[in-house]
Amino acid sequence: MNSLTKSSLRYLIKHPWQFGLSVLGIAMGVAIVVSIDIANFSSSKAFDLSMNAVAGKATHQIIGTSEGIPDSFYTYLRIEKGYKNIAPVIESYVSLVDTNKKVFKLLGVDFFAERPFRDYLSGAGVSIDGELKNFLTKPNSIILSQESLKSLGKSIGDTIAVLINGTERNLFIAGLITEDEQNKSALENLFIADIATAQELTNKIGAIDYIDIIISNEDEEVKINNLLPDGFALQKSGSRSQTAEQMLEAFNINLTSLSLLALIVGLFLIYNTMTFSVVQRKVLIGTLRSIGVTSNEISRIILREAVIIGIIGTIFGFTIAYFISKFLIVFISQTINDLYYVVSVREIYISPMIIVKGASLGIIATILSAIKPAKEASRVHPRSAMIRSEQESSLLKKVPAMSIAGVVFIVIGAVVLYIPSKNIWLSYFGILPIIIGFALSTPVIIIIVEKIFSPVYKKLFGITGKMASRSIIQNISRTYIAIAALALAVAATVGVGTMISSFRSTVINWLEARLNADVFISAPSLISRRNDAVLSEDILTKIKSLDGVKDINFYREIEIFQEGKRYHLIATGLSKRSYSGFQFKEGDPDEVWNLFENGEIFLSEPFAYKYDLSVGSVLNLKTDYGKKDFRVAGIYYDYASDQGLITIHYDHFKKYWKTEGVSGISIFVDDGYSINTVKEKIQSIETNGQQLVVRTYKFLRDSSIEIFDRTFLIAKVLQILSVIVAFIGILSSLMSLQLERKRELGILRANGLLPSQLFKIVNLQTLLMGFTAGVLALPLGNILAAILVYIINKRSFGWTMQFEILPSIMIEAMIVSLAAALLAGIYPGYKMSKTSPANALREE
Amino acid sequence: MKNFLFIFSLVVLLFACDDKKVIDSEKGVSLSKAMGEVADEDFSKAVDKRKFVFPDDHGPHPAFRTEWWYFTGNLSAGDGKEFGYQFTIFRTALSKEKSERNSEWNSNQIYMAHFAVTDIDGNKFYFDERFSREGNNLAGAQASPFKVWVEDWQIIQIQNEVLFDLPIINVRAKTENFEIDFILESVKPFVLQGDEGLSQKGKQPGNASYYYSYTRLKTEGKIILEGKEFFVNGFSWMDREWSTSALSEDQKGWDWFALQLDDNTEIMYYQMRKKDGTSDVFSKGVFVDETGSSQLIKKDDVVLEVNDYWESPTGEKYPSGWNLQIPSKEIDLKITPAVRNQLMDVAIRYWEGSVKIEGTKSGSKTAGRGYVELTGY
Repeated sequence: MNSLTKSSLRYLIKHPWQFGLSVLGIAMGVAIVVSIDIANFSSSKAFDLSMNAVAGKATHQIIGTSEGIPDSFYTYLRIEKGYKNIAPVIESYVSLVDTNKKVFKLLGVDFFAERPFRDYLSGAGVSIDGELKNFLTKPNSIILSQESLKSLGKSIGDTIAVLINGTERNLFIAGLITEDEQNKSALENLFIADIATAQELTNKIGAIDYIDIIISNEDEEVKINNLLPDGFALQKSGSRSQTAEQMLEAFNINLTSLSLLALIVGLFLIYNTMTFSVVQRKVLIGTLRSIGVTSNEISRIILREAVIIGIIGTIFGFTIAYFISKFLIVFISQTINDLYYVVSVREIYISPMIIVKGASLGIIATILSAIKPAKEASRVHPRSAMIRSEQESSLLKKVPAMSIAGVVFIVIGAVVLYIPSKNIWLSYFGILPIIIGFALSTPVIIIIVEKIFSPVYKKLFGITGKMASRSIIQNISRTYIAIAALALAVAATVGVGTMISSFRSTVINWLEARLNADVFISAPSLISRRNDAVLSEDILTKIKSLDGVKDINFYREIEIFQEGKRYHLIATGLSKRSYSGFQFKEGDPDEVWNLFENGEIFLSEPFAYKYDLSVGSVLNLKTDYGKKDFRVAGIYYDYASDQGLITIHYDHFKKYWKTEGVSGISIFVDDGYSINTVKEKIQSIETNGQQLVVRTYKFLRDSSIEIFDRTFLIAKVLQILSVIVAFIGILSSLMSLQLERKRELGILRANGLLPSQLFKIVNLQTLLMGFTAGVLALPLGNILAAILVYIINKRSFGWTMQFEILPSIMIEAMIVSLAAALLAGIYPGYKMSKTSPANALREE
Repeated sequence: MKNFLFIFSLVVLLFACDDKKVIDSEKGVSLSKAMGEVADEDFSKAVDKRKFVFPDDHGPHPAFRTEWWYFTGNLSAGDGKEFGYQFTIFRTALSKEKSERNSEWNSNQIYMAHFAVTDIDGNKFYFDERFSREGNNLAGAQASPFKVWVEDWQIIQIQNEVLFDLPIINVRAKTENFEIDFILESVKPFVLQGDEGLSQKGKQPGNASYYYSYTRLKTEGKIILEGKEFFVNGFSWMDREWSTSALSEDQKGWDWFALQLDDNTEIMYYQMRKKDGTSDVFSKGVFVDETGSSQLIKKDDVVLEVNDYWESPTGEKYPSGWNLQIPSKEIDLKITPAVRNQLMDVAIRYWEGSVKIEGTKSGSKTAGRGYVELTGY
């Protein structure tokens, strides 16, 4: 190690606060990005694993109509057509009846057809250890993995109570699937049942969900396609999980972008730190230069320091990320389960990509942000090393140019955002120049704010006030970065907060219009935002005939898989009074309902946006009787699904689909009956064990809002995390700033300033900086919010939202800025006031 | 003779962790042990003699644990090419009664089929197996019209005409590279094996099966090997057996012979081998004359010697040539496998193959063809 490196290391060690805070800043930035990546990756990996365990070696699947595939078609393929590599499958979910309501996938298979498909069910070292006889002949028998058995605290021969489609059943544990290391986590959430048992448990007597098939060439594919009746389809076996992942794409991108925001804040911090370390060592650098160290060597020292800080910060970042991700996974999988599909994430998965991305963000970003300070250091002229004011005055000279550049950047950002595109990344990319533009405009804002506040401060706090305010400008080369970093973090808070509240009030308005009934009835569902369980039409008839039921609405939701896409179709049987619950974006409100009753369809706004459809477009759908065209009569506002919905009149639905049962029922209570009486009557209907979820308007509204809030919890968490990063940033830069003014403050003390006055100066100054940051953050925050509401959300999901500025968010933002600044000033202020002038002034 | 085989293979396929390994390490010693894993329940047992009734007894007997429909045959093509085949459908019950359930897939009966063709001139052996449940019509058996099937491998009555209590049947099975499609009609009456159809296998009462055979069925049809079609004719042998019994503790396996001599007579003989290497007293057989009348052959009537061995690629040493003498009938036969490797390397491994016969009968030269089954090696 040469003496230059030693000197640089000694500098870092001698300034542990500065060093530690820069490491922490980078660590936090990296941690947030990486933990979001890990959480996303782990949930998608968990989903993939469970899909793979289910799909096995099948290359394709034959899917049937909405009613599935009749048993006889399978026999026909096997016996008449001699297909050997096919296997029937029933797939469903069950949830435990105990307190934790854990969800398991129920897979119904024919053991004798399994050999070519799922290793864990045949051959290859893995098979069933339990009693085959029970598995095949005893009703409600299942087998599961050792791991699952352990986690349930059960043993073979025990029963376990579960809820399937809202009906409670007792499953008999007949035996074990022996797992190996590879399939272990995939099998953890799996109950395997015989196909007969699965039919009985899921009430799909006579039908199977799909047929797994191994197809080796295209000829065979064509041949099989020709055998399929109307409404059947042959699809690649990965396509089901692909559509599931497509659903999450926008959700994931938005999370990642939020995490990048935290990193940008972190970058400011790094830049700030590195600049400081150069400025503070100007004398040292000047000395080194004068004894013959070249400017290249100087810049190398600085860059090497950046690398060290970057690496240490990144390592810490990964460590922190590991813990944060554990906790983010809970939120993310909750949201996925609320909105999209059932997934259970138990393990953390890290891909090499995540490591590469995290490490390059941490290290390369640190180096990049150190380039300018390194250059600056290399330019230090041995003679001018002592003059700090030179740098300040040079920055002040640059302020007009910077402001112009700032405006140019903002314009560039606006132009990028204006480009019509569905690409979410492009939209986020447009935000970047706007942020840079704001950062570049920060000095001029500081000057303006100071111009205004200097007299006010003088009036309020006397000469110390004026000194406090003036020194912000005197140290503008540092103060502006600290202020910009804080402003950006707070703006992010304002932006995300305003977006969420705008979204929330839009959704509430919509919910209140749409939920225009008194009592809502459905079966218990595993996915909160969707009813995946079905009530029999018999229950519908029974409810219709109850006293006190004035009008009734019902709907059936089904999924249609076609051409690698997954559509949600809602068939509604609406009473006329509920028509008003629909607000149309496109389509003549006087006409649409007539068209609808005549068999045309409505699309929700996100659906129309996603597939570029408008009124008059024709949508081709796979029905149970083959493909049929449907004309679009109207596009309505809807926030129930980001995937979009197709709505069709129930009577027309029944013409094209054989589906039995309804997903949900809502009723209007007759005058003279109390809602609760009717609710109780519904609850006492004889349902053959089918559980009913009966909710009143208020309850359903509130629980919908609760789900909404739960969905955005993760955004809030990220928001808080980026404020923490910003806080660390402001703390480290203000502290460095004040510590650097040691001599200046020493002189003031020597000239008679009291320690308390000194403390006051420091704190008044940081307070003003916080205020300036707040002033900057409010417009930037609202611009960010507007971009999120009008561009990002629109492009991600196709939703139109009402923009709403909440004063409370603005006030909160200002308080956060001031509080962060104040807190950051306390320690340096205290330390400065305690330092004896003699010590502060001693140079050597 | 295959009931043990079937249960064992199911046990192995579905319960054990590595089917091949179980056989390798225990070499069939575990037959009885493995059988013990399927509970005996209260299945019916072959204890008393019964009256055989047709066509009913061609159909399944679900109250017994195991049952099979066994066909082997030796055939020739017009150009003199020779072939052998084995096609067997097995049934096993998981419980005596089928539980009342809603799903069509619900079954307590499992079916397995073994299918093999020997291309004698080409010195090649083709084999495959299938498993299925009875549910959803994937497999099953019925007496009238007679039909036994495991998916598209089937034995089906094709006419109402009945010869010697057996309808004319079509036997067909197909895999990717070999296929058979035959018409079979019996030319002799059925033969009741053992004591009027009750075939005792061990000391314990009930350790027996009900067993009858059609020893000579005229067979015509086609064999397709690797896309090449051969029109063939010759004779088949059909065995029907059902039981709930297991091998005794001291029994290890068996060697089973079904021989069709050119003078229109047949011999069946099975030798139960004990773990100590000796032949069990329950070994027995039957001699069928030209008219179809039969005589029991007891162990003491027979001298059976192995004159050659063959080591399978999987490492077991199988007998591969015999001298079989029945002194009381002046029969002295040399039995040689038509192809050495006729190893059924399926879920459970055994040797089952076409054999050629040469020798003397009452002083004059005789010849014939037949099938031999070797288990527990």
